[in-house]
Amino acid sequence: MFNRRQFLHTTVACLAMLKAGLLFPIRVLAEWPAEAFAKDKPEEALAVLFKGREIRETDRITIEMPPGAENGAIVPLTVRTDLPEVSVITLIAEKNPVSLLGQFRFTGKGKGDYLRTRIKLAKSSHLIVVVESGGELCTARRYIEVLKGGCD
Amino acid sequence: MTDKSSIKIRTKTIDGITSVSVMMRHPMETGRRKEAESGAVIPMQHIQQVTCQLNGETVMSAVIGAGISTNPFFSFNLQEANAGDILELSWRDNLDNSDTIKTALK
Repeated sequence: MFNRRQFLHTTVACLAMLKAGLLFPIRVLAEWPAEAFAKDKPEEALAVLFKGREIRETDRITIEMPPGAENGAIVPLTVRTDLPEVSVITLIAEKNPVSLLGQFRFTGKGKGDYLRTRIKLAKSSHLIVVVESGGELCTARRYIEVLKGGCD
Repeated sequence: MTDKSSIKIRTKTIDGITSVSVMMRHPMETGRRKEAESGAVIPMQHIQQVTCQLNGETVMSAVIGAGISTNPFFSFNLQEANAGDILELSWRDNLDNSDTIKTALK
């Protein structure tokens, strides 16, 4: 039988374990940056994400997209870069209702030289890529024509 | 969630680089779409977090919004991964639904 003290100890220990995510292993770790995903302008999303850090343009990021998309709901996108030590790739759509599409963080054996996905685009605009490489932020953009918006 | 996993994963290793391709079954609703007949707004529901682990160590973690297309697809590279390594991929959405899949590299 538990006495009162044991019960308290057990409860406190369980709460601590819960908080540390030990009882229910939480495998999805990164926190979702709600504020950055609430911005409808690229510069505002960038300000929230990178807090005024310098972002310089580079020709070492290649953005592969079709020149025009009939349907903005599914636009294939490939990002390649030969920048060293890529830790984060950030994707931003210039004229979407929510600018930030996503942020991809590479650690350990994750390489970060290549990312392929499918995105929604509301209208013809630039797709902006920001790569964090060796602690520095580099960016490139590419314009794409969208016939039918895909952000509803 | 249904019995069948919402996640499909494919890997291929060439010259020490392993490409991982993942497809997740998910509506990725923006919260701005309306039902055709009733005109009712379809509530926002999208994946927020995707995590990929290799032998228990995180190699890629993403935070995404509804700007990623329905049934999200991602492909990315790993280096120095070996046959038999365990790859685990998980997602979680804004309504706290989640799914996980594990596979061994060939």
